[in-house]
Amino acid sequence: MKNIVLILAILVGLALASSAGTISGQVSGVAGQSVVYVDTISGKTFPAPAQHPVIDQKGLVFQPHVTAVQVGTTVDFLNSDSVAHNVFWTSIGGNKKLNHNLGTWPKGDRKSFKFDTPGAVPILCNVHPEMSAYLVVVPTPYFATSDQAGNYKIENVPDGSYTVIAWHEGAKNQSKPVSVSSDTKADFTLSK
Amino acid sequence: MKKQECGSEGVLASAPSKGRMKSWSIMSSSITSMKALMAILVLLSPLAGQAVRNKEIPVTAVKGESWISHLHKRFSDTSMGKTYHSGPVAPMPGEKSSSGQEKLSLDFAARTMAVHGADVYRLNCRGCHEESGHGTPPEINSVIDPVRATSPEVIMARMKKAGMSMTRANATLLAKQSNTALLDRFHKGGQDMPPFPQLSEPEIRALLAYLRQLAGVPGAEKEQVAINESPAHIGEQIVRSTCHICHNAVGPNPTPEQILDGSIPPLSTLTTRTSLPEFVRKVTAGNPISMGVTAMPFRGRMPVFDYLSEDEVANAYLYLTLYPPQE
Repeated sequence: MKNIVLILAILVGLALASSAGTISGQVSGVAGQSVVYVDTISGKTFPAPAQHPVIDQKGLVFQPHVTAVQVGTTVDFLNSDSVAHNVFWTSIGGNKKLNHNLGTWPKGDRKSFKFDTPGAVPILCNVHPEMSAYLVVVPTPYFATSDQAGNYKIENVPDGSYTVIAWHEGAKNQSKPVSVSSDTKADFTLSK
Repeated sequence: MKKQECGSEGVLASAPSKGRMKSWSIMSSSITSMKALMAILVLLSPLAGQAVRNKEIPVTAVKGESWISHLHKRFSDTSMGKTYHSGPVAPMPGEKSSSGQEKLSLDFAARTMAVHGADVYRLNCRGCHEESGHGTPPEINSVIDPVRATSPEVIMARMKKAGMSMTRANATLLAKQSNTALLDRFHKGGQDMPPFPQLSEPEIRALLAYLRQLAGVPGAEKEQVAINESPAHIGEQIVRSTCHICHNAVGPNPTPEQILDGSIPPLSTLTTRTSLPEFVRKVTAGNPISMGVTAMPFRGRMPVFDYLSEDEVANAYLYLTLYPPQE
């Protein structure tokens, strides 16, 4: 009996492993990095990741310029410059009520913030108006940030039908239905 | 021009050396006239002490190693103190140097000066951040954006231009934070920027008002105020904020050979090494320096501080005499 359970478990495991694929493709029509993600899957929730991605301020530039995180993630904001920096945003996903000012702090300190609402967050520094970055808070763990040429690859997506969305700063989001079975292609063309 | 300065008029009028003071320009290298000058300075010293208006902080001697020594930087590896990027070039040996500044007044050591924020900037900040405030990035950052960040109006205009909205309350909060960060920098310095304990609160306020004007904050030109300052404190600002960036306070006088190798003479030997007129000319217009194994006159590395008046530079000499540099 025990053996049967074990065999079943292995079979289920294999079945699960084989049913996960990837979504890859290219975002064109815009220059620079984009974010592509699987939209909310009804009836599914995902635990917030424990890892804290870092957005640094170094050489009077936010690094990286584009970051994508799953909703519920805590992001650490660093200041690696010898001058004071500030971090604030005026909205999350266009909702102005979610504006926040994280503070102004000197080198070495870090401030953290947990992002519980999905949407794009334009990150700014009040001290240096030319500095900007984008944090894209997405509803699922299935997302990817593209390279500068727009190529992206989302790993470990279970087979199924999803709405996939492409985001780019200043452009209109584009969404399309994608049926994932093993390695699936999805290209996007965005316009500003 | 005479000014009523705690009885200074009497001292000046009766000074036996008045005739000699007039002939400063032609007695630059004579040791005897140097001694006469020192005598004048000593005569004037109690006066300079009394003229201190800036009561919050007493004038104190310049101390310790230069800021670039503190940072373990060589003069050749830093943009600090190199106003010659934007200023005139020192004359070659044999060339005549001329300063565009007003000539030294006879009573420079007895005159209080009305100092505006623009002057505080000139005496303390311009040596590194340059006239425009842009500095020489990436080593020396621009002051413009951090100053603009202290204005709620500028912040709101910026957000509006970017198509985002912000309430005045939020903009004011951001502006306050930026203001605190800026004041903190003046008081504590940064990693590469020295602190400025020699500046009083009224001076910092005047400086901030000028910085806002320099950074194009609307209405800032109406905020400008003047502060009366003693000659010694004018000199203190130049020496501690500008000269001390590169010159150590004390130390052995380098030989011409060591100067060629990059040594910078200390401030402590300045008043015995050079006469007041020589010093004023060297700082405001440039003067060749002796360098090399067989000492030869060279243009030298020191920038020409043509934005300092002869009186201000003479005040630096006075300050170095009255408050000898310390270890």
